[in-house]
Amino acid sequence: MAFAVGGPLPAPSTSTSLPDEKIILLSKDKLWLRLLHLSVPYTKVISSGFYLSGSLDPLAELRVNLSRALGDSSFRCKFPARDQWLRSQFGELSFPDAGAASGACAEYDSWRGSQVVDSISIVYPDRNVQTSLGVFSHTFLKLNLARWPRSSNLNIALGFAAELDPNEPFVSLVSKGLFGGYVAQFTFSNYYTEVNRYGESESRDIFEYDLKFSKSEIDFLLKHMWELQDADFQYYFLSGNCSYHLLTLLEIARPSLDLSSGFDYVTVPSTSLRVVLAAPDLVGKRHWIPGKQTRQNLMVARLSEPGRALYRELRYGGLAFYSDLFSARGISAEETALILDLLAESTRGRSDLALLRGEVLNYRSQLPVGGDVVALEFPSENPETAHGVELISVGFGQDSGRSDTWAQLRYRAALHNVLDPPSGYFRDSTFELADLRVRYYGSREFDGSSFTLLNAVILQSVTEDQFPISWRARSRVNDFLSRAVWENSGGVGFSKNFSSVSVSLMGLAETFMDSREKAGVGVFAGASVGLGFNLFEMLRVQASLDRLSALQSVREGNYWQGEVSVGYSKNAAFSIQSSLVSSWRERSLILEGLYYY
Amino acid sequence: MNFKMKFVSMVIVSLFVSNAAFAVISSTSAEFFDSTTEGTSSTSNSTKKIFSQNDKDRLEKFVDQNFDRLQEESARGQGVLLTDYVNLVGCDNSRGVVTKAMHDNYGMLFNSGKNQLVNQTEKLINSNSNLARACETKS
Repeated sequence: MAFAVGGPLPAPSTSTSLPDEKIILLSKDKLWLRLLHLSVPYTKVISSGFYLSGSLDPLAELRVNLSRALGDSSFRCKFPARDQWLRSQFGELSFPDAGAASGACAEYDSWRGSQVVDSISIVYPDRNVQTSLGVFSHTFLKLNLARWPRSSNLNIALGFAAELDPNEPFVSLVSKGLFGGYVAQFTFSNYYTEVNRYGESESRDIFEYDLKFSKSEIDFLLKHMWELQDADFQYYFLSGNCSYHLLTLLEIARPSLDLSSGFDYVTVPSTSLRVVLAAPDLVGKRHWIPGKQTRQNLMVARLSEPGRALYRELRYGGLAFYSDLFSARGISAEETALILDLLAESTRGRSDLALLRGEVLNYRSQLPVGGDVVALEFPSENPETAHGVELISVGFGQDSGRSDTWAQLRYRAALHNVLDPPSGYFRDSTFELADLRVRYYGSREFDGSSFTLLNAVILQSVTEDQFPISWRARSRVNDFLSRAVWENSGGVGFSKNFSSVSVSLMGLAETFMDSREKAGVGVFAGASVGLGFNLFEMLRVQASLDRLSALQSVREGNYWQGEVSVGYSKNAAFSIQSSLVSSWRERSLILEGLYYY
Repeated sequence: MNFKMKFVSMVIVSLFVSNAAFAVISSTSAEFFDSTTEGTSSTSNSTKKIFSQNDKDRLEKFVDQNFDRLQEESARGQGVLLTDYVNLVGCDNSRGVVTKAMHDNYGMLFNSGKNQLVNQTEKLINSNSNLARACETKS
């Protein structure tokens, strides 16, 4: 690279002849600040060479950049977007001929000539519960190259990621993650790598939204990406994360956009996607790539009953494979192909089924070409139909043994309860963070208020040959306005889905610490059975019954606790929920109206 | 940062770091900025070596990551990845000739395993004048 960066910088020799007032004014220009990544918190570049003035002062940076652009024709080789912006803003000045440094800019010019990007999409893999971060999902961009079809997996994925040391101590990880202790960069990969990761390995549906950027907007963004190829950033898990930085890129491509300003503290990918979707005239066509499990479900749904039975016998029942089997069972040629395609998919990566897979593929290749796996219509359940991450609610209730009722105000920071509207979320699971409930009794006292740090019930259905673990965990402080009882519970077990019903069975452990009692510590162990039911997407019923025995406690030895809850919603913004809770301490009934945003 | 946000942040970060895979860079690629690794593959020459070493490296990387699905789509004779592979090879598949040939010659292409797919593809193209033409015209 011919352009020298870093180290001591000469004084901007031409700065005295530049129009100072205009420079001062333009140093505050929105796009200039965005190009420097100084317009919003958490985004400054930390690697040397990006700020030519050696400081984070936009005015000093403008002076030096302008000086360089005026005096060095190779400036555009390193900073083509800055160069374009400076030329557009200082038309009265005499810049070097853009073609003068064609030799020095050979690397850049060659890259621009070879990487023609036709369009850009924003990509959102659907949530999943297999990883604790999959519940929040992820966003990245897809650069659709002119040389490949738009649907090609050879296109380029553009993301933002940090480099962590998995062996780093937990406390260090947390503090570094919160306060920008990790280094991150914009990253490029083949789109097929991302499709394999999210769609195949993690079985998540992938949603793509084409962005209606003009050629010049795309061109300007690519120029800026060239400027950023060696740029390091601080990574903040909550604020300066992947989604936040992608928003800043979109704002550079189209300066009239204001997408990132609402995310000063926390940027959740699904929320950032909603902001993009809501921006005027930004999002065009929508596309969908079904994840592995969705695709297999769709294929199974297309099979006749005999076809489905034969598939199960071959896949799970150990039935020997031979080519005449299908005609002997009266299966049509078209359905035979579909069964073979399904068998091939469902035996992928299974060394114990490699022989069957080989036979299936060889036979399939002897049948006619064809058989689209699924029709790729955009599903009615998608990120746009998902409820907001945060909620507030108003509720009323009554406890056993008290005549007065209470009112409750509630705020939940994230994310989803199985009683909430299910569209766009994991169906049978709950994952809630920072749930604050304040209760006020008719007798003019605050009591029964609680703060739940985490409430997770993650159900993963067992299948014929897979037994994923289901688990639950909750950490909650009860009655924190009076005496404070800290409860922690956890459990592991199995669950099974039957169409709209889920059943779970788990072993449980529970502890409590009561700040007002001597030796106010309890340790319990037991078991739990759960039942979930979903009716017409509008009505959810959830029931659980726990039996716990004290290993150490100042209170009762053994007890039952149970809960029956109902949630009703007609859209993603509101729901009504009611719960009847019974434990060794109390029985209470609550009715809530919830608003998601 | 107010108390509420601090607290929520701590909780969320604790969960994030419990699965470090979220933020780990796994696929940083300089290829996007390297114009020499892009472009369609070269045409056949007098020695009938259809792919240059660069082409082979790119194809082998693609095959390495997608072999199983490529196998399935070849057996079926259609699919996004199969089309991508044919495009990477540099063939004109506008009439479906190449993907059909991969379907018809599935055993020859895939039964030698992942490491031989690119070489077997080269052999297949060289063995058929229609394919050779289809794979010359694109570049």
